[in-house]
Amino acid sequence: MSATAPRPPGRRPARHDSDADADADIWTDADADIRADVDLVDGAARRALPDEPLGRWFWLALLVGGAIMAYGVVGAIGQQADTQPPQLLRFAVGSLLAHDAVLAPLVTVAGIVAARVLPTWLRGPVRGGLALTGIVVLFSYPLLRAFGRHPLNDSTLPQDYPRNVAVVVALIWIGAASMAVVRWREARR
Amino acid sequence: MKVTAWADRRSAPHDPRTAAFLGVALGVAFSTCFLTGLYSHLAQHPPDWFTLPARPAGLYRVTQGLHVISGIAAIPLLLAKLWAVFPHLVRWPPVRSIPHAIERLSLIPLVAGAVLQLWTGVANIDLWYPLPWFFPAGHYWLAWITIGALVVHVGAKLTTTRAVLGRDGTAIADGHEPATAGVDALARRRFLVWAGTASGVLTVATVGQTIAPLRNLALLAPRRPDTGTDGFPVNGAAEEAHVVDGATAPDWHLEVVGAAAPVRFTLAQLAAMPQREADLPIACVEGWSAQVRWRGVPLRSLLDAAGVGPDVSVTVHSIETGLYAQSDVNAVQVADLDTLLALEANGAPLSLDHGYPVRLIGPNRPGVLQTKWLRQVVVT
Repeated sequence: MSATAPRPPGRRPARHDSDADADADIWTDADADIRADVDLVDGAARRALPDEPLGRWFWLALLVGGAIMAYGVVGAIGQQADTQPPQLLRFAVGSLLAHDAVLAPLVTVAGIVAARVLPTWLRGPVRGGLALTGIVVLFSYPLLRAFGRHPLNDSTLPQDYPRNVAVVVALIWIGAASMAVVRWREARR
Repeated sequence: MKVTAWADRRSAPHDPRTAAFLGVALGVAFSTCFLTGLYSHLAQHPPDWFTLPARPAGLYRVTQGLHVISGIAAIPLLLAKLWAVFPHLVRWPPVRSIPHAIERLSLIPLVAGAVLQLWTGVANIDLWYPLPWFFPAGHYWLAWITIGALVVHVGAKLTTTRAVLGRDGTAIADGHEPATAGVDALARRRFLVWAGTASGVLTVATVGQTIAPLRNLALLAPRRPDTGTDGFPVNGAAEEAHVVDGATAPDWHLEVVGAAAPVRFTLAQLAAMPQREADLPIACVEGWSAQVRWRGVPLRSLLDAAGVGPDVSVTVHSIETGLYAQSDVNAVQVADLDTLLALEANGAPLSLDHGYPVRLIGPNRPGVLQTKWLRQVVVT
């Protein structure tokens, strides 16, 4: 499909400014427009799936979701001795930044490095293995540090977590290695 | 405009179809987490219109097990989803219309709330308390905020999601000639398989803390259903709770208040009453649970012996002081004969850590309401 695809009658003629065009169309016949708004930009096929919210569902959801959020905010403030709203906010912003400013860029860089230094057949398994290892280690951080182990209660964090994490990570890399072998064979064929 | 070009050149892991798949999976996980969490909140803080049922006896074990499992399973899905849509963060222009601005603003509470809920939830089940607020209160209200933001997000993305997941969605999402669309579909499938595998690994490595047959796979679980004093987990040990002296005092007795006059029972008197056995789980809000054979006096029998009439609710009080020093038992649960004042667990006298001399154990009660080291039963 392209900008020359048939358009419903009565519309403005298609312009090169596809964003503005999408803006105008979204609110009329969303489904049809998603299929129509595939445009050519810089010679590359670009899907103009709009980022904008579409149609009446958004406004209804905004109303309902907004009310639910307001209920949560009012509740948190109403119980502020327990919830400590400023601290909650501080940790929420911190969590957002930890992901968006630290974790995701790190993963991006790791992905780029992996693509540069590794042959194609090895990229997928290594990236996947690294991602899984990262997730498992992050998830297990409180266990590895044993913050919650209570000396008077031997049922708290009862396992040898460094060993267990090592076992899980080893299994992940056995899986990744098997996959790499399959990909290598495919690449040779 | 290089940034825009990068953001637009979506490779399969960053395309709308990938995001839509992960979005649906996360929607299921977060809804499960929210509803089971809400149920747990109702069970622990019942409003007037809610009576915690006594049956099915294992209901709380299932709902709270699901709560923690769905939360853990959501972690890799959330990371994969954020990864899939990450290029949008730096798209230019940042907003294109007022609805788009509102929609993007709603992502702040959604992403911040989701990330914070999941990592603090994990910290909590790992008994790590680095937070300056009272975890249950913050977790509860933040859940409403996060779910509200999720509702807005679903509303904003519903049409796109349906379009790209529809029958001809592949073509729309890939936006290529059919030949290259196949390559993208393979790359997308591989990315989703990795995300699903990560989710599966964390689930399998923790679910054994509540599903006992899988306990040997529970390598990353903070509890095991077969580990602890007398072979099952202890939430708070007797020494931690500072109840050792009170629980072992020679003049210990259980007092029933609420009939004509208070009635006292010694441990010997309780042991001489007809005993009843019940297989009931002890199920913690932290997601672990263990099936235990309890033996003791039905609460209802004790009330009968004290001359208390039918259809009453009670509050039981512990020697312990603090947050969980007491719990309410509603009329439905009092009437259930499996609601016991337990003197034995798994065939042995109750140990100090599990609530010696007497603890409450009832069907479908959150673990924190299975009050240990009882001293008083007050009819309300």
